[in-house]
Amino acid sequence: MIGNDVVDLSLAATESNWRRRGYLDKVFSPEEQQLIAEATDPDMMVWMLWSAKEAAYKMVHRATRRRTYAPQRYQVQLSGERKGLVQYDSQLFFFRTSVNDSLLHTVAVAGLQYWSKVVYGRQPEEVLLKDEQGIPFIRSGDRDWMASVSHHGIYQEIVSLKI
Amino acid sequence: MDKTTLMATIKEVVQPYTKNPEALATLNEDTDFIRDLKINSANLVDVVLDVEEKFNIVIDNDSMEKMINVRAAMEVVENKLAAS
Repeated sequence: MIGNDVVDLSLAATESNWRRRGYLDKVFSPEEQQLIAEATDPDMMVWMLWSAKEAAYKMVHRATRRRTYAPQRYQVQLSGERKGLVQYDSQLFFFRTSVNDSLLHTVAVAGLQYWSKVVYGRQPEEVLLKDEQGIPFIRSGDRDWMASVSHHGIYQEIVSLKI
Repeated sequence: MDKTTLMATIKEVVQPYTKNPEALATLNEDTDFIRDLKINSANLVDVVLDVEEKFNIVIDNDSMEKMINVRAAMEVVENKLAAS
């Protein structure tokens, strides 16, 4: 499975005030809040952790078909500067984050073996479709692949899993 | 608090985060915060915090989990007010 999440960092800086009282407690565990407190760029850390939770949620939603808003149930641990894992119940997801100017893009997969199958973007002959619950997939000829789409501000990113 | 007042208050809370004014104008119990009002998911936290402040209640994580539309938000507020 695959999920992604885009944050336009310049838009996030104006539309979200994560420093308001109570905000971090609703979203992040004490361990995650510690990462934010110790980060040289706390804004970047907030949105990287947030996007990892969102990307993992997209996979859980795809699997369960249940929409929820439970950021605290997704626990993020870093394994590098811009990568790590997200735990949801007993499931583990792996994420990588890239940052270019004000585009922060996180991609997550349900197992490390899937990284080599991740394709960024969409070929001209491929069509992006959504099922009746809004879950995206890419169709090329008679083949369908799982896809994930995220947009925020001026950015949109599509990723798919070509297996 | 009657349902009309409750819905009007929730409408007031979501207004600053809404990116779809047409859906806000026709807000009803089925209105979905993300799909209809196009509220950014990071701003849903603000909606929850504003609802807490407005009604002087505390919304636990299990209740927040359900708050994806107006109906669920109304139910959460009604339950918390009844319990307080």
